[in-house]
Amino acid sequence: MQKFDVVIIGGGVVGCAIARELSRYKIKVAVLEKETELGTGTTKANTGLIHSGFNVDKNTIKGRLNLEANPLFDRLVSQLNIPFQRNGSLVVAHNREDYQALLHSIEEAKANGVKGIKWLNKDELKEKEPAINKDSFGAVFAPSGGIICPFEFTLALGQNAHSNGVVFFLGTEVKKIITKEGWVEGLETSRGFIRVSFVVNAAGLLADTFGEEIKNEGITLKARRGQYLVYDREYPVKVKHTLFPRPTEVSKGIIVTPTIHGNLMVGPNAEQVEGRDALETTETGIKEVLEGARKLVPNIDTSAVIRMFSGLRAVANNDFIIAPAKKTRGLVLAVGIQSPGLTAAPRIGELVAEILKDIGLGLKGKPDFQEERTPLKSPGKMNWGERAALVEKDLDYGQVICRCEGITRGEIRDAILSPLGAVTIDGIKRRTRAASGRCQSGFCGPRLIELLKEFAGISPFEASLRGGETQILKYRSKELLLKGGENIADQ
Amino acid sequence: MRTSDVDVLVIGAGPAGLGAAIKAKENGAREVLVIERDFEPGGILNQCIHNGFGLQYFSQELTGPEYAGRFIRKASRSDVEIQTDTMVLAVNPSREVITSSRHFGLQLFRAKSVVLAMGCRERTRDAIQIYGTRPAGILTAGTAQRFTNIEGFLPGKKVVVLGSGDIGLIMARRMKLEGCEVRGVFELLPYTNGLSRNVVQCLNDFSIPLYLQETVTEVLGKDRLEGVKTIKVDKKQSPLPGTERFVPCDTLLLSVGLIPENELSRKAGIKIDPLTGGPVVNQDRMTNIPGIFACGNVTQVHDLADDVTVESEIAGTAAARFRKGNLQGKELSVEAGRGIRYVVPQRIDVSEIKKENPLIFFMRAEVPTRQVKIIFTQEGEEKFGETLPFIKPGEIIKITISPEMLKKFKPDKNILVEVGKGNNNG
Ligand SMILES: Cc1cc2nc3c(=O)[nH]c(=O)nc-3n(C[C@H](O)[C@H](O)[C@H](O)COP(=O)(O)OP(=O)(O)OC[C@H]3O[C@@H](n4cnc5c(N)ncnc54)[C@H](O)[C@@H]3O)c2cc1C
Ligand SMILES: Cc1cc2nc3c(=O)[nH]c(=O)nc-3n(C[C@H](O)[C@H](O)[C@H](O)COP(=O)(O)OP(=O)(O)OC[C@H]3O[C@@H](n4cnc5c(N)ncnc54)[C@H](O)[C@@H]3O)c2cc1C
Repeated sequence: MQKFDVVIIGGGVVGCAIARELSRYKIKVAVLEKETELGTGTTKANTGLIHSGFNVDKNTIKGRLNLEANPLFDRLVSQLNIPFQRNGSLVVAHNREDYQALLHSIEEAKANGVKGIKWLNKDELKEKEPAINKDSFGAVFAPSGGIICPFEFTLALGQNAHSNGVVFFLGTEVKKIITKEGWVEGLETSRGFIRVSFVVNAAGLLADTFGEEIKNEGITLKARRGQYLVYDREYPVKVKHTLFPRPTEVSKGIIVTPTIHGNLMVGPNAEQVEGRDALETTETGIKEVLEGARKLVPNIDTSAVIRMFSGLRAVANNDFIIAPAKKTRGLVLAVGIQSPGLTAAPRIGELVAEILKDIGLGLKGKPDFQEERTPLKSPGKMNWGERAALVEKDLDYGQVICRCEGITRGEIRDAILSPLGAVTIDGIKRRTRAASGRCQSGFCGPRLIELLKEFAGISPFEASLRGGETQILKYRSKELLLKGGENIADQ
Repeated sequence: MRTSDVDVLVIGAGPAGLGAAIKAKENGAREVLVIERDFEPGGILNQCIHNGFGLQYFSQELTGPEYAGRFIRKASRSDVEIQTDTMVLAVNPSREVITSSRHFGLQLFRAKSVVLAMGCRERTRDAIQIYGTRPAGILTAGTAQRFTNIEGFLPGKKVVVLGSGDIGLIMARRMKLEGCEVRGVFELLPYTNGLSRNVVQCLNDFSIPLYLQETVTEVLGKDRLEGVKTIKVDKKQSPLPGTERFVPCDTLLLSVGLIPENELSRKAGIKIDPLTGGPVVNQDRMTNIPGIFACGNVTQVHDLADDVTVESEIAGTAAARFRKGNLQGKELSVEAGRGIRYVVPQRIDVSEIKKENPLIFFMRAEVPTRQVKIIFTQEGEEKFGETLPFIKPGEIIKITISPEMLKKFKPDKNILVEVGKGNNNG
C-alpha cells in the first residue's frame, strides 16, 4: 500500500502547478486525475491569456495573484521550454464614456505595478492594430499581456513535476475523502485506497462532487460557459494584440486574439449553465460571440472557421478559494479557480505550499530539483539545414503524418512515449498539433490510430478521441453483415 | 540535403499527377519524378472501390483502383519514377522543391517544370458550423470511405449523411451494403450536388431517403453521437420554424464540399481563383508562375476521373514543352458571367491555340436550368454559343471550341462566358 505526504486531486493547470511547486521539496506527492490525460477539464478550453492584471481588484485573491504571477512567466516558460509571447493587450474604448472609465483604470493599474501601461488615441490604436473597428475611440495598451498554450503549459508543469518525483495516477477518480477524528487519512478511489496525510482539492468544476467537504465549507460551485471560434491560420483577418472591450463587473468580455500557434480566435461569451458537462456550442452563443467580436474587428465572418468549442468556468463566488478547509484538517482547497486561473497558477502553487507548511507539512528543499524541462523536438520550427540534419539522424522525423500542421511520425512517437504520454487522439493533438489544422484529422486520423497501436499498444477499437466512450471505430467491415445486417442495427 | 535536377517534377500521384507524368514523358521529358505522400500511388481512387470510372476515357466501366492501376502500370512502363511515402514541404517560384520522407530524409529537387496535382480535401463540421457537443461518430464521408474500404473498419451502424455530393451518395450506399441502417441523406439545397447517375444508383436503387431542403443544425450525445437535430429550409435557405426533428443515429457523415488543396501553391506565390479555389491557369494549365502547372482537383473539383485525365494530359504535355523555354504569349482572361459559377481555364493565349487542338472549357452552372444556351462573348458580342438540354451545379459542363471557331475571337479582348437570356429555371 502506497502512502503519500500530499495527494493533489485534479490534473488541471492548478493541480499541475501545485505539483511542480511541491516537487521542489523532499516529500512524497501524487496527483490523481480521473481522465486518462492531464489538462482535459477547464484547462483545455479557455482563451489562453496571461493577463496583464489591468483593472483587477487587488483586494481579491484572484486580483493579487494575477498581479504577482504575470511577471513570473518569462522565467517559467524558459525553464519549461514552452512557447509564450507577450503580444500585449488592447482594451478598446468605443465611446467617451468607455474612455473615461478606462482612464481611471489606467491610474489604478499603474498603482498596482502593471508595467508599461498607457493610453493610445485613435490614430495610435489604428497604427498598432490596423484591423480594429474604425469607430473605436482609443485603447489602453498593456504590453505585459501574453498568450500561451494552456494545455502545453499544463503538460510541461506536469512533466517537470514528474521528472522531479511526483507520481501521477491517471484514469483514477477520487470517490471519497476518508477522515479519522477530523483529520484526512486517505482517499477512496476508482482504483483502490490511498493513504495520505494532506490532500489538496484542485478538482475544478467537479471539486464538490465527491464527499461533503466542499458543502460543509458552505461553498457552492456553478458552471459558467464560454464559447469560441478558431480560424484557419491563412484567414486574412488577423490581429497582433489581444483585443478586449471595456470589461464589465462579471467578465472581461468577448475577446479577439491570436493564439500562440497563430490562429485567430474569438470568444468567450458568459452564460450560466445547469449541468457540469454542458460543453456544447449553441447558435445563440456563437452569434453572441461573433457580434461581440465584430464590435472590435468588423471584418470577422465565419468563412474560415476550423473549430468551435466551449469551456466551463468553475465559479464559487466572486473570488478564488485557496485556503485550508475549516472542517476537515489536512485538506487544502484550491477551488472556484475561475479566470484568471491560468495566469495565477504558478502563484497558486506557491500559496498552496505555504498553506501546507502552515498546517504542519514539513518542507525541506531538494538539492537535486531540476527546474528545466526538455521539450519535444519540433522539426517544423527548424531551418532547412537543421531539419535535414535531424532527419538524417532519426528518419522518423522525415515522415509527415499531419499534412495541415506538418507534424511528423517522430513527433507523434515522442508525444506517445514521453512521460505522461498521449493515449488518445486528442492527447496527440494537444501535444503535437497534429489533427488540429484545417482538415481536422480527415487525413491523419487513420494514421494516428495506427501510431497509437504501434507505440502505445492501443487496438484500433480502443483508439478514442478522449477516452470514455469516444472510440472512433466500432466494427470491422462485413461484421454487421455476418451478424445479420440491419436487424442488428434495430436492436 | 541531397540535391538533384529533374526535368519535370509532379506533386501527387493521383490520376492527375500520373496522367501528367506519362504525357510529359511521351513528349520528350527525360527525368520525370512523381512525389506522393501516401504509401501507394493512385490518389483518392484507391478508396473508390465502386465502379463508374473510365466510361469516357476508356469506354469501359472500371472501379477506382482499376482506373488508377492502368496509369500506375503505364507510368512504370514509361520509366516515370514515383517516390511514395514522401511529402512535398515547399515549392518556390524558381521551381525548387523540398521533400521529406522516412526513406530519403530531406531532398531538394531543381525542376525545369513543376506540375501541381495535390487533389482536394473535404470540408469539416466546424467549417459549416453545426452546433452541439463533440461526440465520436462525426466524420467526413471521404475519411469514412478510407476507414471502410482500405482500413477495414466501420465507424458505426446508424448513419445519417449530410450533403448530397458524390462521396455522400456513394457512402450512403456503401454503408447500406455494409449492413448499416442509413437514415437518409439531407441536403440544404432544393437539388442534389452529385451526379444524377449517383442519385439513381446509390439512393433510389437502395431505398435510401433523400431529404432536400432539410439540414442538420445540431449534434447530440456526450461521448458518442446519439442523434442529430434537423430543420427544413425555404428557398432562401432560411430555417422554417416548427419543422425541427430529431433523427437518432450513431454516425454522421459529412459530404459538404471539397476544397482544392493549395497550401503549397499559395506559399509559392501562385494566384488562386476564389471561384474555383484552385490556381488561375491558362489553356496549358500553366499558373501565373512560368513553369508551374496545375491539373486535376487541385485546379477545380472534378466529378469524373476521366476529366481529370484529360486535364492532366494537357498539363503534362505543356510541362514537357516548357523545358525548352517559355512559350507564353499575350493572354486574355476568360470570366464567368451570368448563371456560371466558374470557368477553367481562366486565361488563354488565342494566337497560340489557333495552331493547336480544340480548346475545352470546363465550367459549372449556378442553378439547375433546362434548355440553356451558353454563350461566349467579347465586348458584348457573341462569338460562340452552345445549347444544352439541362445544366446543374453538380455536373461539370464541358464546351469544346474548334480551332476553326476560335478564329472568330479577337486576340486581345477578354471573354465572358454566360447563360443566354430567356432561359427558364427548373
Ligand atoms: C471560457 C474560459 C476562459 C478563460 N480564459 C482564461 C484566460 O484567458 N486566462 C486565464 O488566466 N484564465 C482563464 N480561464 C480560467 C482558467 O481556464 C481556469 O482557471 C483554469 O483552467 C482552472 O484550472 P483547474 O486546474 O482548477 O481546473 P480543471 O482544468 O478543470 O482541472 C480539474 C481536474 O480535476 C479532475 N477531476 C475532477 N474530479 C475528479 C475526481 N473526483 N478525481 C480525480 N480527478 C478529478 C478533472 O478531470 C480535471 O482534469 C478561463 C476559463 C474559461 C472557462
Ligand atoms: C471520395 C471521392 C469519390 C469519387 N468518386 C468518383 C467516381 O465514382 N467516378 C469518377 O469518375 N470520379 C470520382 N471521383 C472524382 C475523381 O476520381 C477525382 O476527382 C480524382 O481522383 C482526382 O484526381 P487528382 O489526381 O486530382 O486528386 P487525388 O486523387 O486526390 O490525388 C492527389 C494526390 O496528391 C497527393 N498529395 C497531396 N499533397 C501532397 C504533397 N504535399 N506531397 C506529396 N503528395 C501530395 C495525395 O496524397 C494524393 O494521392 C471521386 C472523388 C472523390 C474524392
